Amino acid sequence: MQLENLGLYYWAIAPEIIVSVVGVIIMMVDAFSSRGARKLNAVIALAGLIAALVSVVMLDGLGSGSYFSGMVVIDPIRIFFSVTILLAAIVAALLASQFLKDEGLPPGEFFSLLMFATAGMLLLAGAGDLVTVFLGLEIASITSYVMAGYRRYDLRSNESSLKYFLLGSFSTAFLLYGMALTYGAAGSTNIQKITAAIASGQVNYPALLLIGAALMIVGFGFKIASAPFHLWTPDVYEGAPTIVTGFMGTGPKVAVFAAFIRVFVIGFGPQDSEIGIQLHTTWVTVLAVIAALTMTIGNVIAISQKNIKRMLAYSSIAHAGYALVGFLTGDFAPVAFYMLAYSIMSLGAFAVIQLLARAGDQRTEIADYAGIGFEAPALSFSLAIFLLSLAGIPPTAGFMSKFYVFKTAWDMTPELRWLVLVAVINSIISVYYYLYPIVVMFFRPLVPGFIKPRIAGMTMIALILTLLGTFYLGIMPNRLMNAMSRPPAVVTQITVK
Amino acid sequence: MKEYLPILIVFIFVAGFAVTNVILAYLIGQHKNTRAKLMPYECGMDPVGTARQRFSVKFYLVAMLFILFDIEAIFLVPWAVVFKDLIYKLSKPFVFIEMMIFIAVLFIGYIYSWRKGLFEWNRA
Amino acid sequence: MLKWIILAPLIGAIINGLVGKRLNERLIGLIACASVAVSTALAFIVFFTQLLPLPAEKRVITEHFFTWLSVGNFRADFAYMLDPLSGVYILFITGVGLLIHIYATGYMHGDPGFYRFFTYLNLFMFMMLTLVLADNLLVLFVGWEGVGLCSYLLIGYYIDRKEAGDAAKKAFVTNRVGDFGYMIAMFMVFVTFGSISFVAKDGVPGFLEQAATRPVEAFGVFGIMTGIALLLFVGATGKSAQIPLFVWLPDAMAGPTPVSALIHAATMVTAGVYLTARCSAVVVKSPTAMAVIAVIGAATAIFAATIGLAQNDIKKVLAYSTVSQLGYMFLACGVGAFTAGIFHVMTHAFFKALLFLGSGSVIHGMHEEQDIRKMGGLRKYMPITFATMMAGWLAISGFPLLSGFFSKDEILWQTWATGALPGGWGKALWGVAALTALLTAVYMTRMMVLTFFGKERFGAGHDAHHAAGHDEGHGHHGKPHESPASMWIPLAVLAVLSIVGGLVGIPKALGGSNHFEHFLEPVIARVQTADNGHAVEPAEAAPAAVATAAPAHPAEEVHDTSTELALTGLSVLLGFLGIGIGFGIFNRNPLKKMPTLLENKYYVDEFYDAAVIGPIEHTSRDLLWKVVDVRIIDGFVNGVARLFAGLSDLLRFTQTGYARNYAAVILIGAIIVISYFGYIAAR
Repeated sequence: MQLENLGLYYWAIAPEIIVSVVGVIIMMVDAFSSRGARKLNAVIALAGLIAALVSVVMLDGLGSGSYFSGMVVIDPIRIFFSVTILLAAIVAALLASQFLKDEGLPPGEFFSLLMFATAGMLLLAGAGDLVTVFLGLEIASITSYVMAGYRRYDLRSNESSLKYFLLGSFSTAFLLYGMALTYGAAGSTNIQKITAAIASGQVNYPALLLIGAALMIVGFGFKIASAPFHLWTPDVYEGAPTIVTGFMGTGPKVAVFAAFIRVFVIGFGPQDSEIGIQLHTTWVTVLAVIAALTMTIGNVIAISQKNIKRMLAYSSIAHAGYALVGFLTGDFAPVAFYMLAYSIMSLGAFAVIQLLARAGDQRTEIADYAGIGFEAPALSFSLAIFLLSLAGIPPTAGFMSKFYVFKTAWDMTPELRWLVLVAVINSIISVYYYLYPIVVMFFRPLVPGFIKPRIAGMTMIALILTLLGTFYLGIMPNRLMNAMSRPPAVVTQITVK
Repeated sequence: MKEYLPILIVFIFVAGFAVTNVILAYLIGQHKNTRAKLMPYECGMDPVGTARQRFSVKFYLVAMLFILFDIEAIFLVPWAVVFKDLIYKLSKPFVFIEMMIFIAVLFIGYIYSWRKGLFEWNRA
Repeated sequence: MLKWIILAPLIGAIINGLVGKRLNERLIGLIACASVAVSTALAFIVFFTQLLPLPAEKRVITEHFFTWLSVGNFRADFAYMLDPLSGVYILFITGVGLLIHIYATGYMHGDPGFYRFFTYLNLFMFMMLTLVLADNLLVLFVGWEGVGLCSYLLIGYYIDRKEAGDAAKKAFVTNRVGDFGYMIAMFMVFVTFGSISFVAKDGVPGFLEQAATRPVEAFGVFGIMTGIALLLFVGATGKSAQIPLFVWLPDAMAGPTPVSALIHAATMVTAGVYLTARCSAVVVKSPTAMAVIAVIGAATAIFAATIGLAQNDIKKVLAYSTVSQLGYMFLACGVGAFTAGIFHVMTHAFFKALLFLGSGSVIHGMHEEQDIRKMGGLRKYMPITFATMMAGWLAISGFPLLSGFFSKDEILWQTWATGALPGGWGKALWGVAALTALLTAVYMTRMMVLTFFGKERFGAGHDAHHAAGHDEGHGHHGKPHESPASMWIPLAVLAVLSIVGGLVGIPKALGGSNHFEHFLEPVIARVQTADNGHAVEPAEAAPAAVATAAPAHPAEEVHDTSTELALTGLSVLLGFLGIGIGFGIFNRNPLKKMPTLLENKYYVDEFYDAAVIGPIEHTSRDLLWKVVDVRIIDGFVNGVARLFAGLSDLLRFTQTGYARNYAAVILIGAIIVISYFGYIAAR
């Protein structure tokens, strides 16, 4: 064993290092400043995230390969999902400043938690080994648990945090057990080696591998909030502070999708061996059913929601279902595009909700939105645009991403066309509840006690960014789509650099 | 089985150490028994009463800090044991710096806990 | 460069739209005019320094802005293309547009919506330039809809007048009917050729190129090319106000006069002609479609001309005249003389913009009076307006050597000599067109006579006709007056253009060399034989040098120029005859009662009301709304909604709020998934 053989190439984990170090710096600034230095921390966090974004883009120049004995890989999946994660984190950081000030919460810890969560997600997106998958997932999850309970004196926030923690741990156990069984069957935790073992038919106990895959589906399925592992989502999303909800609904989900793709779509892809084909057809079947179930349950229950955060929680369940349709095409690009679009519009929507809810999330019932359309036109129109985008109305990102996913699935997987039909019917159902808040905002008499919210500079930037993103992806999706469809998406060789 | 002999010796030594101390204390120390002293020791808690009692969260903070620094110590031991082997296989500065980074991270955590007043019972 | 031609007016529109409310008139006008001036300057620079120096067959400049959409083999770029056809268009759009912008700063002076007006007007320029510079049907459609929107906004500009709002709605709805045809045509083009681009992209040849290689569909055969051509023409009839969709244009005169001049005379309404000429490669493959276009064009021409005879509103006369002249252009397209049609588009843009602006000047000077029966003798009061309008009048009447003479004569001759249509069609259509030319001269003369000659018929009465609003600052009383310089300078420029604008296309028979036609030739498809569909020559093959007069039907070479000269002489005679008749009748008896049928525009609006709008309203209210919508659709929709809402309420109970229950559900789900995998493994 020589040092060179370990593939210790620190540039390969530059984004993770940058984000972690910035998180530590923020901790120190927080520890040595008397009042938390909210603005300073926000600026440091943003600088760090932007630096990480730059380093991700530079990773692209390194070319595909795997590093740290295959623990970490660089491939288009990592690049695109990392960019999405960092964009979500940037928007969350921009929004956090005003949120922390309005709510009078300690500012330093929030930013460092945000940083560590981001680091975990980035690691998850770049994981080439089941161990790193687990590591990244736990870093991201534990910080999310804390963030969900960040409003310490609010019972709903506590409830949210505790439920998330308990159920999250419960599901992580499934994931870990699945990994263990897979390791037992394939003899390695390295995803490429697992794939190689499956492809050559050298699996010790095929049954073990299948059960391992089943358990991992449960674990991943929980994290992306797919039915029937979705029940935690509405409670957690409703109770958590709104911007945390926005961040939790996007960042971790994006990261888990990246790992999910790498383990299943690529690791358990259709291999030329009996067990490989068996495994692939089985998980595709199961996930197709889960996808159909997820979007249907999400959309149907969303209809009867009175609270906008709960409604968006169910909407996020439904969107996970749509993304799963893209997942089943065997190509990462539709999912990556979908998650980017979803992150932008969802964060935008939560940003507006945060502003309208006022301190302590007092006004998150849809009834509280009555008639505000012309009282706070900028916010209302933004929210309307985000909701229409979530519903998939052109020319927004939501439309283009759905179109891309559905079209790819229709063309590439003829046997799953039924699923595309289910998805299309579901998008039609979803229009109903997305339009409801818009109707309430613009066509109902003004609710008493409405105070036009103050919009801080950073919040404004976040809103403008998300709006621009929504339209950019909706009108000019091409540059991104072309970049994503660069071949090849699969790392076939362990090349140590 | 021969290689497990030292472990057995450690076991015997530890058990002997504990037992010896208890016996010595019993033999040498003064005995002024009070009602409180005769109660079974439960870390300062009243052993009889409702089991649904609430504990201050401070206990958990201390416990968590303990676990963190405990892990540090435990991790240092195997590192020290294989250090010589590793420096031949890898390289000396690498093996050393890696562990220093680990310790530095924990040290930062220590400073943070300290600045946040975690070690002051009445503040945290 | 191309994109700045397009974007300059957009920037103007954005500035005026966002902050115009706070600016003063002078600055708004300056921004609006400057932005158009920039694009005018760029258009001329690009045209003369970049396009013209290229060899005739390669005169295409493309500019890729961004790829809009590329899904599967469907590709739409936001890309612009400048070729001789769009070149001609951008020159007169920007040129005439600039003049009208300048004019409007004077005309709209004191209007409370000044900034709004110029925002829309600049936006219109942006859309119109997008339309003509588009390199594919989809981007063209963006412009197409955009100009429709701007037209809607500007017709309804006087928001306090109900008839303006109604007219705007009518224009929009009528145009939508046409747009429907356009959209279907676009889909058919994509399905048939796999491309909607005019030029080759990524190795896929543009659809025009592909269409050129297709066989001609014999007369009467209804093939795919006929379908596309006719549907495109349906789109064109909407935008360019042809039978049966012409009804909106006269009503559109409710908008401010500069709008009528720019949108409803010079530019937007000729978009249909542009589309037909642009897609000439498709159109020429279908003699059937060409016959339909020619007949509709000729019918519209004479139909509108007769209505124009009996109108008393100065702008309505010009509106019907526009409809009639557009009919001419389509007639030209229908007989295969696309270049002649475009030539007429250009000259018409000059003289009709001139006439409209002149009429605006008259209306302005008469304090919002539009009824020519209440004018008369105005040449004394408004000498410049009179002089410039004279030029327009003579041009449209076909006075020799003025612009209208050349273009109209070209169309007449091409109609006579057409090889695109069977047998005697050309001659018959020529007869209709010649009669229209005569009528044109008559009604234009009537309008001029009633306005500028004879006795003054205005006086104490006319103050009652004031329209409220826009003429504050002019003084409500007093004699008619000449308009300010910002208004008459554009008139003068346009007058010059109306006089000399035809010289670029003097036909060979009159000793010219018809530069205009040679210039357009490379981008316009040539007609192949009409009778049997056997292509005589590949469409694009003929070198420009050979062409004398399009269409290059072989038989045509046999014609010596004597026929052409004779016909030219005849049309000159017709023009003079018309002017003579006009003077003869109306100078003596200006208020001569015109036939009621004509005055009421053949009752077309009433017919539409009774035959189309009434039944639609009736059906939609009594059947669609009360029965289909309320009972069936609402019933169904509400039923479905209730079903889902009920289901939703039911499923909501899965959300108990207890973490232990959630964990149990996760466990059950996990057991099901694992069991399935286990079952597969055990099998």
